[in-house]
Amino acid sequence: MPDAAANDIPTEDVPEGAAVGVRAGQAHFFADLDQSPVLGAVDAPDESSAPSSLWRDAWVQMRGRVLFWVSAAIILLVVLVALFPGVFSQTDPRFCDLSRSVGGPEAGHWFGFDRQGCDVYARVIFGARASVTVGVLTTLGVSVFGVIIGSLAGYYGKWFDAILSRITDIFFAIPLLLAAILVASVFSESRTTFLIAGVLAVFGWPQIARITRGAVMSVKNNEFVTAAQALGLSRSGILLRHIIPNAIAPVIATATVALGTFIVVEATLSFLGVGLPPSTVSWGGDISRAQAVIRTSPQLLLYPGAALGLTVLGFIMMGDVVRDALDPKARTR
Amino acid sequence: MTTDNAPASTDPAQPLLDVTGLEVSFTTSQGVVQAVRGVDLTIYPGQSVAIVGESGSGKSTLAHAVINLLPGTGTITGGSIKFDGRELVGASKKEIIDLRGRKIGLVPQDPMSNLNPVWRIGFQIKEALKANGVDTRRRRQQLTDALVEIETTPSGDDLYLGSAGKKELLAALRQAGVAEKAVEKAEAALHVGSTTRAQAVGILEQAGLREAEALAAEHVTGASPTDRVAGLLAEAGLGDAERRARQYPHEFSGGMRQRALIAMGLAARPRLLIADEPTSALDVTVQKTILDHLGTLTAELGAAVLFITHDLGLAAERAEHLVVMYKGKIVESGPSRQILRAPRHPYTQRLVAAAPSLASRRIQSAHAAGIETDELLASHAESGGHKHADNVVEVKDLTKVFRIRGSRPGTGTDFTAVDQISFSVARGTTLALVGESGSGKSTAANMVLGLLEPTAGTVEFDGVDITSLRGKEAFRFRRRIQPVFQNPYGSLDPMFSIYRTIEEPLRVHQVGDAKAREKRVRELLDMVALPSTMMRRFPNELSGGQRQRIAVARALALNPEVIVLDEAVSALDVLVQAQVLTLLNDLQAELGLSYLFITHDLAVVRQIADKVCVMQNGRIVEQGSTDTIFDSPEQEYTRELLAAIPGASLDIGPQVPAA
Repeated sequence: MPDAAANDIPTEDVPEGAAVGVRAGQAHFFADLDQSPVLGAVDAPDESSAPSSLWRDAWVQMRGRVLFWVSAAIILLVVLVALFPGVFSQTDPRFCDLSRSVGGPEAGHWFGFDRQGCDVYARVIFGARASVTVGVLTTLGVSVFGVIIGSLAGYYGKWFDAILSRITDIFFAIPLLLAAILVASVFSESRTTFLIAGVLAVFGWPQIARITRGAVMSVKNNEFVTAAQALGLSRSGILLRHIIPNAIAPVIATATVALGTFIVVEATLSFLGVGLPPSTVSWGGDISRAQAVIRTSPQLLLYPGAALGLTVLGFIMMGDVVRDALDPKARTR
Repeated sequence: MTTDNAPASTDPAQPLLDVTGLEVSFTTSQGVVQAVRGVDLTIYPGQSVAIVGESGSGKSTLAHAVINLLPGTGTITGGSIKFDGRELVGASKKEIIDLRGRKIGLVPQDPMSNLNPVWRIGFQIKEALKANGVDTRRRRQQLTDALVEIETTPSGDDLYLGSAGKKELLAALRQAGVAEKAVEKAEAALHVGSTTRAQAVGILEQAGLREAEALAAEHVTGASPTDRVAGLLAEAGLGDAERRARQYPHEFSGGMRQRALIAMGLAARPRLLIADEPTSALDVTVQKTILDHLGTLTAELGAAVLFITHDLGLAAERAEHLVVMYKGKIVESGPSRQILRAPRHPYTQRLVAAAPSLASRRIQSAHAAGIETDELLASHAESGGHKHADNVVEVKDLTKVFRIRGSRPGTGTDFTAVDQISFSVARGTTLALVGESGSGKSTAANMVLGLLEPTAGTVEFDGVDITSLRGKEAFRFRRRIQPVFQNPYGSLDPMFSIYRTIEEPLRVHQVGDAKAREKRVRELLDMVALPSTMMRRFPNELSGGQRQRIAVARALALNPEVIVLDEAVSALDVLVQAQVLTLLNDLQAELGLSYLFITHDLAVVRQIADKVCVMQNGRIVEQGSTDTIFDSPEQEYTRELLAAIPGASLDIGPQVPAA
């Protein structure tokens, strides 16, 4: 009955329970304009701050944390060592002199010698390459494969998702280490870093796939996706241009942590003798060989073990920092 | 004077809540932000007061400061809050907790997230009762054991009728030889768990019983928690309360949940009820019934109500005293009618001018008085009617049936979301599709956009059935019709800069080279009144209204003929909403656009639409020109929707009041 009110004479019918007249502290008050200016146009854009994207915001957040700089320094050091081991040690890690077996530290050989009489410092330095290569290659493989499977399953949904998700579940159910031991022992002749990385990637992708699938499913219900459809963008175009860029943040965080774990798995395989062959210098292999003399010279275990631990710690800490920075819930506008 | 057992002062001349010079600040990464800056507020017992303001004005912060439920880093940095003469700033945690619920109740904003989904409704209300120590068994025991004088006081206000007591009372009535009709009347009036002893006396006397007082004292001896829950739910307007109490929140609709929350807020008979946007998440008709109910209920219980709302029309209608907040300060306060009639502060004047509920009332007044008003944005209604039909969109018998999966394969049921609707949009005009949630209006819009395949019926665009379009033709059709969606936070890709967002349609449809596209983006930003420096920014840096303007610019990029606005202004504050509506209207006049305007808000429709289709349960129940629908609605449902626009009881003239 909108009309009813139209031509009513102003009445003083106050609602039920109301007192007649204005009570103390409730008189008509209006603020002094000087004290409460109405500022400018309605909804005027704020141009005072510098433009920033989500990635920029994440970077600003990350660079303010000590943990980020510590882990970045560790990762940078490890990567440099892996790329240019010759800069850090001029000694050949494969040159061994049995007469110096389990020898103590001396000038130019600060970590001493192992059972074969090889320089421990040189072996730690040159062993970085194997670990980092396996870690990086596996993570790359896992990320590419996992993102493809996960985003297809999450985006296309229905029976396609059902099939892909069941396949993911099957691979998820196989313990990574067990499968890697099995496959690696089949290829006993030709175990290179590439093969090890390949084997780990084949069994390591389900975690990334699951995370991607979930992220894609939450992104695809956004209205900007419908808007893109209304523009006539193809389904694959929408997936590549709008959905994956918005779903990738949790994948990056998880992949960084996973890189550390893959290095551990490689070391474990080498330790068990089904990883890299003894001819390749690797931390896992050295730890394995140090085991034999652990009672008499524990320092042989200490150095490659510490190198491995530090590297893994660096990646896991970095993963944490990245996750915090990219998590939209943790960040306020 | 305010110890726990002493009766609270009920002197109506003493303020119930007296806030003076209150300051609240939050610590953020950018430093300390003052959310409330020196606010004074007085509420008397039984009074209704409303705080009005846009998001970020500090209105919710003020209310939460009263019950000391400030979120995050919020702290009270100055001023005083006196409740019933007792200072709350600096009071101990225990004192405040004692007060919450018992003396000050809260009805929260979002009924969807404020009930725990794993507990039954009844259990959650019982919890509220227990937390406030109201009429639970232990307390009843204490009362009957120790305080004989309370037992014999005539008021007996905290003793409720139990289910056993009701039976006994009715039996006693029959025994006393009261006519069966009067007994039945008394049965309907006596509510288990809600009727107090004093009320029972009145009801019994009305039934013609002489020794009513003694009988009431004998039988109205307190209710069990289960009875109280049933009584509270019945009070809140939930029929069949006993069954409702056994249900879980997911079995309730939004309106029912809000009623349950009202029952909880009033469980302990608080003297002040804070209602924080109690109905903004609900459909308009539900909103009206709930507010009506809340009004009568609090009046009966004598509780004061503090409304927090962004809708000035709603505030003025529901509260006798208005407080307008802007940037953490009170810019104007006073009796509602006085503020509506003669707003003094420029900000209040803007609000009064912009609030759609008030604007639509003014347009209606002007229309009735035969006065021209420039508030009516849809000025082309008449010319559209006279020209012979040039319908750019023609929808015939459009139907969409969704298959809802059952628990087992093959047990699915069909749900008809859109049921044989027909309408047309004349070129250069605005058609509004109005309905409540679930009415099928958005489904219809998606079919018109060609994003959803209709089950039956046709959508003709400029004479061509769009469902027959394939490949290249379908792609070219996209240029001619574009959407703007509701949620300003979800409709722009957060990874795309504003430039990329607006440029994307041009790139997808290969319009011009890079240089031409950049020129066009600048042009579009200018059209939506944003500086071209915005190009380098990202959506997360923009306000809701700015994002919606970017969405409009993107929709305009390809020079479409039709724009589908799916609740495009519903999520915006009133001033921003008015700004976007004016912008849309200017663009329509300038570019000859046709709008399909989808909304639940009839007040906005009055301002912008030429024609209105009212949808209910997938069908169009009524359609016609905006004037016809507002002047002489034929369907009951349309009348309900119109009555639900806040401000129906207000006396609003055709003019925007000047200072």
